[in-house]
Amino acid sequence: MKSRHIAWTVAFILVIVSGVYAHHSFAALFDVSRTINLTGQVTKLEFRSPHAYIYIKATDSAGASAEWQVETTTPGMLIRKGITPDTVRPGQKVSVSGNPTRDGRKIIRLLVITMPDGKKIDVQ
Amino acid sequence: MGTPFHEPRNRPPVAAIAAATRRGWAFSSGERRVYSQSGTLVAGPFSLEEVSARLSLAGWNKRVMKRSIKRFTCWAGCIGLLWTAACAGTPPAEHKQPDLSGVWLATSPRSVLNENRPALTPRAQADLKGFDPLKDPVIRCVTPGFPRSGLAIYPFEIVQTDKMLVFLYESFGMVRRIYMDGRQPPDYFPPGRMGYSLGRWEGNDLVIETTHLEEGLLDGAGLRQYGDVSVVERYRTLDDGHALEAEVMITAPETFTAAWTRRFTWERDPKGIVYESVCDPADSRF
Repeated sequence: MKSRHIAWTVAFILVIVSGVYAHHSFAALFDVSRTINLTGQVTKLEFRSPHAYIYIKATDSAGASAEWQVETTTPGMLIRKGITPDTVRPGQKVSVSGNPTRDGRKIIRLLVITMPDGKKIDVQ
Repeated sequence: MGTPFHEPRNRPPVAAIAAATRRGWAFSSGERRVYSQSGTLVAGPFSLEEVSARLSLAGWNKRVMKRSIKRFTCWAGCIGLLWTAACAGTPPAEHKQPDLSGVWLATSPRSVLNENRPALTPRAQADLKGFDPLKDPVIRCVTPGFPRSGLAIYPFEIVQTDKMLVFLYESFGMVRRIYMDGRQPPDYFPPGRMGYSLGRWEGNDLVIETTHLEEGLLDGAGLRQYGDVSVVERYRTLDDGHALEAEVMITAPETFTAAWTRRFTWERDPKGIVYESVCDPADSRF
């Protein structure tokens, strides 16, 4: 029973943490005074409003491998910059730099992305 | 049509036709025959060479040309008179206003958002300092409204008519109507997030005055206005209509100690579209 409770608790936390966000004030979630860099493999692209998300499996500065949620801008703005489901596909390697969260969750607010073809795009 | 009359071969056709036409008879160049006024064939048919020689030598061509010129002059005169009469009551053509219709992409640097900001009142300063980002209504998908949004970052499309301009913003799908027909605001208009906008042309400048804005945030950092805000935008096209700039003056005495003026720019995207931007409060996990 105890292990079942633990499993439910873990599942609940995962649901909370992995949730996608509605439109929000960036200042509320992200520490805009800091910038971090990540390089990893794209696992998923959620091309949706109000903000699109790129998920990457990356290794952070401590050497730990984890999935990061890269929060971008609106799909419309991404299309204008050439970032679409055709140009960012699962399995491809990208590098991103952006603002980390204030509370340490593995979400990054994308500022610049280096695309699979090596092109650097400023999304802000 | 009577019995065909064949001109004797020994009679020069030039003289025959000249004589016939002098008597008011008609020469059909297609059939190469001469007919009397009653339609009776009186000469021909002639060979092409004979007709050609006759037309160039006997002056028939000149008479036809003279008659054509007379007819043309007559018709042209009539049309001219009618044109003059039709236009007599019409005022001279009005100055054509710049065409702003289409999709415009923001080209202002982000830094413009805080540029030239005047000193804040103590009230606005205190609210800014104590701002809790989690209480920003946009977290609940409430539209940020104008002028917080609509001037930088996201594009908009303008639909232009003589009586109204419609700004269709990509940000939150906001819509703004600019009345250009010289009307006055209604007796009561509830303050809202887009306000009430009246526009006019001053030469090639589009001037828009917006009032009736409800109290709210002017940015995501907690700069607040208290329902006393008015905005004057002055748009003009640049670069032969490929670019647009606007000087935007925000007056909000409860917030600022002076008017706040900034300059924003856009570029035309001839093939561009404004995408739908939706926001579902149910997604929020704050």
